[in-house]
Amino acid sequence: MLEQALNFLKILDPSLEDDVSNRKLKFKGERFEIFLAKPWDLPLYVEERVADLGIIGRDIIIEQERKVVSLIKLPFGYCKMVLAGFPEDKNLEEVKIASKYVNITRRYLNNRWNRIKIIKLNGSVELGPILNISDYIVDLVETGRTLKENGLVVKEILFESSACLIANISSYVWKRKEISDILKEVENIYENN
Amino acid sequence: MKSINIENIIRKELELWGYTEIRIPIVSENLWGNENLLFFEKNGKLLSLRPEMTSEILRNIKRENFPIRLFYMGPVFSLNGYSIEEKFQIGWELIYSPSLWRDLEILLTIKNIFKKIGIENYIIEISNTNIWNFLRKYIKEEEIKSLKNLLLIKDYVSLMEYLEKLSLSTNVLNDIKKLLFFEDSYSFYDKDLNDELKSLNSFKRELINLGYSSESILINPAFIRPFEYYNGLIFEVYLEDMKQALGGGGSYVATNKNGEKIFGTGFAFVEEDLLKNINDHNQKINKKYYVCSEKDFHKIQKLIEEERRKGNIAVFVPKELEGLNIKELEKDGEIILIENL
Repeated sequence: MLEQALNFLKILDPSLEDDVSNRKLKFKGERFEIFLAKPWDLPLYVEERVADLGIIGRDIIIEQERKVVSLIKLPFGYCKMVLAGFPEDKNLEEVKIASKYVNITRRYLNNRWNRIKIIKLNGSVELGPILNISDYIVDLVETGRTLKENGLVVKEILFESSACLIANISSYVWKRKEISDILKEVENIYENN
Repeated sequence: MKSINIENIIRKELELWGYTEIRIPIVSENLWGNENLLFFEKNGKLLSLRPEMTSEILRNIKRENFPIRLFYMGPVFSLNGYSIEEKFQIGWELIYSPSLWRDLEILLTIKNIFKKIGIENYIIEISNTNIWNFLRKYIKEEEIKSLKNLLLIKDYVSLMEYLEKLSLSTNVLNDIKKLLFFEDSYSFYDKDLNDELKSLNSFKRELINLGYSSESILINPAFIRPFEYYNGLIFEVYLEDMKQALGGGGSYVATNKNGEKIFGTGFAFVEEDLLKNINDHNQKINKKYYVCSEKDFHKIQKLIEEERRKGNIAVFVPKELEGLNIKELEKDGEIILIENL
């Protein structure tokens, strides 16, 4: 998503550097100063007003529940947050779900079964049902290929995710005019494409 | 600046407006809120350490015709995960039936107090709880509640997505979008909504007539506050360089323990947040230390008195004081070094 996000920013600020492969974590254009942060750290930077705005996947915003303003969806980084498992359903008293997204799993599925146990995994979540650690997984899926290759199927789409523009709450008050101008420009770009 | 200085300035100013300080018990039987610090007393009764003060005041106050003006200062408690958070809250309430002057007075007290503390740059975001009522014509109450929950967490992306699932006309959808990304020049398809925004604009004009700058008042209809008792004007105060709002308030209606309806407008904030912001900017209150030889004490009294008459704090410090640290004093006020009198 980094390349798409930078391409998007370059439309708004053509003076930004063209080369993203130089590994600089901070660089400046005429309009924006850019910080490259790890996706899971970015909402914290915006909440703490290290940055006024951030571009981040909606999955992380919903998972982290940080105090930020989620302004608009951006036209890249599309994927789906799904509940997936083996094709056959089991009738279980307690359902075990493996996921990196503990809050999302709780928020969307807490009342679905009598009891759920959420198992936090940090990667290769598909291994949960394969190794019999869990009955289902909740994960972000782009094409569904990894699921398919591991014999898993999508049971339910919890929500669709894409990149989003977020703002610090205070920056959205103090820099309302500048941020509103950006939102209008983004809207015009969408409409013209 | 120290907390005692802020408290003194606020106390002095509010007393000039006719506000009286009240003390509220720390232990409360009011158990609402997920983050309240609850405990059982020895007889098994469930109690909480007060998480805020307004609701406790409103439960215990009697309804009167004459406006009641109150202010309070004290610790409030909440549970953040497994840790107990204690913050010092300061707030004031004007208990009176809904009226324009009541709301204006609360905002004017804020302006005066900020001026006395030396805070010049701030923005007050204002809205009105009635703005979203226009949706009652188009969607169910529970759908409005879901929308308000998304507004509360400022998740406009989920909100727009939720709206797309409801069968709303393009005109109404456009109105909602304009509310989310509001600009003063916007007009609305829905007449009731237009009227609400006009009245909020006229409230802003009243504030400007009373000395607020146009830039310091920001209308944001998408902003709502968490407590259910708000009914009418709501606002939040943002200081420059702060990550979140300093505090907020608004007009409310609540029921006291006798079942009477209590109306009012109030404002509250956490003192530590204000103090941090002030000290980060090295802001000093009007405090002067007159450092002078002990033998000249009587000679500088006229000078010091003059300063006090202006409302400034003037403190005599004997120059002979053992271990006198001028640099340390400088953090707290201006140093007037007097020699050879």
